[in-house]
Amino acid sequence: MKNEDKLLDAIGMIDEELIPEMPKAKESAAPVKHKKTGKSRKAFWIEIGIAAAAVILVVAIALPKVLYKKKNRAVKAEAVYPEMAKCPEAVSPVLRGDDYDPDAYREQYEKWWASREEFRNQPEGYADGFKKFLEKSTGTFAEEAEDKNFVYSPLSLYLCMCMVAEAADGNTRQEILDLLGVSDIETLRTASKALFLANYVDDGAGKCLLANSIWMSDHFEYKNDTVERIATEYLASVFSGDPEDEKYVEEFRNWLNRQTDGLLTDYVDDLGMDPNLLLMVASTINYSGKWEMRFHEDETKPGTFHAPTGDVTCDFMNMEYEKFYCCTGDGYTAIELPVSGNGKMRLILPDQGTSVQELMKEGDFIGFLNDNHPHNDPFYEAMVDLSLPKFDVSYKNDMIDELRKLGIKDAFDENRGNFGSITDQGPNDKIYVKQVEQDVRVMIDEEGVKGAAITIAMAVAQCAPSDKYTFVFDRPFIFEVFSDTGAPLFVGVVNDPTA
Amino acid sequence: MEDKSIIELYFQRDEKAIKESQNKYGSYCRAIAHNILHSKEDTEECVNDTWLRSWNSMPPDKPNRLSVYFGRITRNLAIDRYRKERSMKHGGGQIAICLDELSECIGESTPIEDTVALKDLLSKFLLSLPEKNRHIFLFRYWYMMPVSDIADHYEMTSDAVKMLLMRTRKKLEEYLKKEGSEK
Repeated sequence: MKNEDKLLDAIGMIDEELIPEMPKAKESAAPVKHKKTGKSRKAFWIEIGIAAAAVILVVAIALPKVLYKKKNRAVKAEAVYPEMAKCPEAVSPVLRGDDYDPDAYREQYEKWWASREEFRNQPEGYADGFKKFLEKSTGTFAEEAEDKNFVYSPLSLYLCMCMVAEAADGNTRQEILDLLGVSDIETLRTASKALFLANYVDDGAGKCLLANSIWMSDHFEYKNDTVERIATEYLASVFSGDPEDEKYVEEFRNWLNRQTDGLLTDYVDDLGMDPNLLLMVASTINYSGKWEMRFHEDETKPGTFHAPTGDVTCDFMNMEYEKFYCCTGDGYTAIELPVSGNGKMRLILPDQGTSVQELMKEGDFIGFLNDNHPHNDPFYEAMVDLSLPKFDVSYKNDMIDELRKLGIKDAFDENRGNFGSITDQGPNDKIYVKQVEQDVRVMIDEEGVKGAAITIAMAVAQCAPSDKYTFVFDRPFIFEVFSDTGAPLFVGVVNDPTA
Repeated sequence: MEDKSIIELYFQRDEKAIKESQNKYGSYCRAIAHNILHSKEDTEECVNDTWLRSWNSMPPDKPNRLSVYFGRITRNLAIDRYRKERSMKHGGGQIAICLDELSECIGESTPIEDTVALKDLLSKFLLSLPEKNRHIFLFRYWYMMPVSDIADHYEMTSDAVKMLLMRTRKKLEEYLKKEGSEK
């Protein structure tokens, strides 16, 4: 045993009259129940360490001309989203609270744990298709990252494309299945539902809310069995209305805003419906959590960030002498910040002289991005001084070109698109995917007390785990947010935290 | 329930002793274990083990301060658990940082043989400190509280607490050197 261990033991043996009473916690950090309105947003952000991010992805299948003029058969169903037992800290005073009731805590803890396990325990191999999709697609979408800030949500795109595959038929469906890494539609149904549930968190502490919906037109007739399957297998809400009716369009926007807590209002306001709309598919992710090791507000101070377009001043959150998982790779250094009970954020800083774009073109690096590294390797624990800019980045991504590059051809071709699973499609009916749009926003924030920041250059060399690292994220860097089960929810690049 | 009555229950081998201990000191012990382990499951197990250990040790033990008695058992159990698992587990607790800080005031050149003698020296050293400094030292290294929580308690900045701790460690280093224990 080392001397410091012995000293720690000796301190533990100190005479009891010397031991002071433990101070009571001033205010518990119990999470605030987030009201689903834009108004509470500010208060909510103060409570959390890592800010929420939200995704909207909309696929519109439009017709060049109106094919049917049938009466509305409004198949309407509101998806019932799974209920998860609340985290004990969210319902009873936290560990040091005065009113602590051990039996209630234990009972709640057991309920919560069983509930989390039930969600996490999905059929073996359920994420295999998603992994294949990541292998194929991350590099293609990462090429988008140029001099601007960029964010992309692989999981949201995947879940949305699953529903599109269900609506498609023939080769159109097969191309989508190939990209989604599954051999047949039955496997896709199982995988999609399992992915949805495994990544869903709503326990009052962390939040990773997924939601799906489809929006149909009163002008057309749909195959009820397919619509019902989308509702049940993909946990989607189903709506029907007249796409030319502003009220219906408003209902669509309201649904998106509700699911994303109003974080993407700017994008949602611009969304409309094509009069020839056959089907609109939407998939959202609404994520937030608290840093396990919070930043203190007083230690945040302005600093210079070297953006590609010139130096800018922004607020850097600072943390000294804390333990994190880190690693060094070929051309980069990375650190993982755990999010309490809700996954982690990985931050990757390219070496001086290496650009984000250069890294993103490396196959090995894309492999590193896609891997959650559940057993930590190549990460190891190290003491870290960290300086990280606060950021709020958003990105609107029209994805058709990338999806074409990834092998989806027929769905976008009005002469070859086959959506015979959702509606009776005659030989002359031209149905194709007109729009695929993903809007993403990720913010990080802190909470806390004071301190001085250090702005020394980062240690790049491979260090022994006991050495101390200094991470200064003062130039473009890459971030990823992983869910608790290790699925990459968001991948992004911060080129300018002030943009 | 008064501490005396709880101790009495232990001496009567009445299992209500455990229930009463949980009620009164559960959150206190949980806070100590949580500071060290930073894991809900480990904290729960550690606190449960505290009651079992107390059941086995009372009698013959008859603590003067029941809170510190339980707290010490929890602290020891949590540190043991941490030591067993530290090579495999993702840390997050304060103990790794505390150990790192303590290594500054006690070198490795002469291995410590006698922990009891070291404890006596430490007690003398701590008694020589102003009460606030002594408490801050013990909040940090006995309860393993995060610096930020200590700063909150005293309405100080984290930097000021870190500085005070650093000075105290420096003094301890000199004291131990002078007393010939180490370095």
